[in-house]
Amino acid sequence: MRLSVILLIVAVAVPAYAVISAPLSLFWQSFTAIGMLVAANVLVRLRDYRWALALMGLSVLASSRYMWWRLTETLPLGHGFNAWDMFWACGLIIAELYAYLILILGFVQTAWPLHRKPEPLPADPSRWPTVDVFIPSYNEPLQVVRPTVLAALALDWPRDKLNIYLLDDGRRDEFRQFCEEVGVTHLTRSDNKHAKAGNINAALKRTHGDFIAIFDCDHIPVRSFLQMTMGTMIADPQISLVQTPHHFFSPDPFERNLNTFRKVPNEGELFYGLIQDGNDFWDASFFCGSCAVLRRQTLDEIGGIATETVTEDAHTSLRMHSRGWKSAYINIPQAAGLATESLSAHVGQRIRWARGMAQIFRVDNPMIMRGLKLGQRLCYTNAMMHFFYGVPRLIFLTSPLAYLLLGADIIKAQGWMVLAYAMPHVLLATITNSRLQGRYRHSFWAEIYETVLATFIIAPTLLAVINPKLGKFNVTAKGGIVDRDYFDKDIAKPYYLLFLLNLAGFSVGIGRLLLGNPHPDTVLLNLGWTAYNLLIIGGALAVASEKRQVREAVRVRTRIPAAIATEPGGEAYLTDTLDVSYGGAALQAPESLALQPGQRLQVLLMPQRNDVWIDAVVRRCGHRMVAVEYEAMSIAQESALVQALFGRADAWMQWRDRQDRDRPLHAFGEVAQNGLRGARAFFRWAFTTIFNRTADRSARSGSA
Amino acid sequence: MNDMPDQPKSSDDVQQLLRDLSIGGLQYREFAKPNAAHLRLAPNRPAVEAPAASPPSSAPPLQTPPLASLPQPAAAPPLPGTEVGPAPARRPAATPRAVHESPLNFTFERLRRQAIASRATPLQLDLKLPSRRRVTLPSHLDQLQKRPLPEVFSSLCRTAGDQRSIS
Repeated sequence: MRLSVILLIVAVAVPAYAVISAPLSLFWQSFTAIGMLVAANVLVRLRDYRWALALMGLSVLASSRYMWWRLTETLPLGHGFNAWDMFWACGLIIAELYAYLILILGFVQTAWPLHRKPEPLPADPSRWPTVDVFIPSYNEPLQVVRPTVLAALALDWPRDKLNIYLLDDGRRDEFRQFCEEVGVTHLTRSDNKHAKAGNINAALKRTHGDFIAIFDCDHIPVRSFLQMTMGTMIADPQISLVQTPHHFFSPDPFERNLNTFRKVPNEGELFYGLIQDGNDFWDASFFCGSCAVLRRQTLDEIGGIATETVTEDAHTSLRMHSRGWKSAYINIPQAAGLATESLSAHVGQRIRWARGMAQIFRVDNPMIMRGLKLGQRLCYTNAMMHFFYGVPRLIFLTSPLAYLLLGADIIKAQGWMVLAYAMPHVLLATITNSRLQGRYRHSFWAEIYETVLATFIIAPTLLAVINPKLGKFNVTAKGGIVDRDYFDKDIAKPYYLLFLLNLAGFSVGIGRLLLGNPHPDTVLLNLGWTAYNLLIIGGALAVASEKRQVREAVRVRTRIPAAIATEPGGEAYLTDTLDVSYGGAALQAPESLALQPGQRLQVLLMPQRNDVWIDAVVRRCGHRMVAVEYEAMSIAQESALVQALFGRADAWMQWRDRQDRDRPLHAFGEVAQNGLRGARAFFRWAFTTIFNRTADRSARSGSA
Repeated sequence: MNDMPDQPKSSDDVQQLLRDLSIGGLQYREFAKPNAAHLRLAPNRPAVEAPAASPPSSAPPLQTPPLASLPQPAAAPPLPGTEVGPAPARRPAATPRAVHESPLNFTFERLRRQAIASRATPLQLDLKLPSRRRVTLPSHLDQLQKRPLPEVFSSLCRTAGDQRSIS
């Protein structure tokens, strides 16, 4: 067996080495590049997934060939180059090596997504295990936590085998009262040591269920959550963790500010849609802190949730895996929550993730940790390495400026030659990623996501590597509201500095071209690169242009059967909802019902399952729709609303189906459009600020 | 707002969902019995005075769904509140059986769903609809009655060719 593997590797590696390392002239390299692109375009059209693996292989060949050429022929060494050139060249080559490594690891990680299905449960429910549901909370308002608790109460699991605990690290009286009112256990502790991990560990000591389901306090489970996940746990006693996706029913700052909600997959969808499914193939899907079930026996064995890092979830599952326990990922949204509202909150959350992953990389490095399989090492390493993208991204955004502004020769090659080698590398990687990830991440959008965060995560990740004990756990703010349109100039500072630098480089490049540079191909190449960077940074500026949130409660566009009655116990009019939120609903107006704004009525959601009417007031009506606002609700009414809005088993299941598939050119058009919009917003803000300041100064000097 | 033709209507029927999406052989169990609402449905007549709710001419006509089209989960009781009248004279069928916790539950459940319409004791829904009205508008009727009989007959006796030439 081992011999055959070695023979196979040799049989693949020898010709691959020949292809990767063969030096070619510009003509033959261009010919090879065109051949690779044609082959990729054929392979991408073949639906059988095995052809996608072939495409992956081709992309690896093209990228490896490029990297080989870069390392062996293009470093600015020898006569005519100085240390300054070498400094910039080293930066770029490190960034390119990082991108190459991440590309290869990404291909390995997502080579064969498992698409695991829920396992059947024992026929006799009396044989089902006991489950403790933990809902940790620290400083979130009660209105954010209430729906989660009410939805947890409605989980389809035998009542005598289900215990719900609200782990209140804020030790708040209103939380205790609410828990008493609805019949769940309110658990507190005397301190807040180790933040969320410590909170869960404290609860583990006081509870006894066989399994622990954990939901962040703003992640509302659907009623089928436990039956969808527990079968997998029972079927294989070696499985320590079953994770499900984190789904968000509200737009994140990217989606709101770029108006891409439910049109373009959001930043997290690649991870929960594909990467975790890919990890599952390698038995490396990991705990994400919420919407998961864990086996108590395993937690006891590893000493509870890991407390050494701020991403306690991934660290905990790494320890489970290192002890031989398995994990599973069921890619069916079984809970939904609120996305971060503002860009600053979003950046704060990602900084924590980046710092946590860097801490794990330092404390329990998966490449050298004992007990892991090779696939697990690679998947965890990729998950951690990903968060070191800050420096490489910054290098890519500034590299052409080294040539355009500073005159440094960072690549020892003709412009056309660079194009002939780089194009197949970049285009094949784009085409392959579009084939593999298209449903979960549209082409070129990663550039915007990374550019927005790059400058903010550099310091935390580097500091975490130097000293993993630095920093503390910061809770992500949820449930807030952006109450006005504004340009977040503080968070956008790095973006507009980068934008202005690139704009300067672009202008100088144009000047050089017009003045007759001896290497117009090199100038053109750098100009094209700079123009691309301007669009990407413009996209980041567009994200920093915060859009006002119109409603306090997030509206979920969903079609639910409903009934309207104009008086309690009166005649009912059957209809459907158009959208529903925690504060009101829009319904199709029954033809035979005359309504007026201000009129009081009752709404019943899902009448085939629910008989609790909700009192409401008509706010708007017309155009065959009626918008109502709920009046103060009793617990029963609120619970009915939670069940209908968030707790339905089919609430989020087909959410992804309505998104477009990726078309790289179209995606590039969208990214470019947002880039231009961001640039416009920035100029408008800059000119307004300058104008206002000048006006202020002249007014002050006039009054003096 | 109303542009949601692709939006499937939620039924929250997990077992059906599992089948439709082919996501495993899980036999779903409901632990909280759904409490279907007892509704007394309003008759489906157009509103007399609803100026604010009058639709623009471009809006598609909207119909209140007929009661029969209201989705009902298999486990839920028939839509209550609608007054159940006496069963019509039909061939009696088997007594409705409870869904057992057997491995064959899936099959029984499916059969039950298919057979539900032909049950021996189907619901007869008394919707208390208003009495039928004459469709012909009174103004037209009056006009017809005022016309002399010869004119009416002569118009009836016109040939198709005449009508074409007239039109």
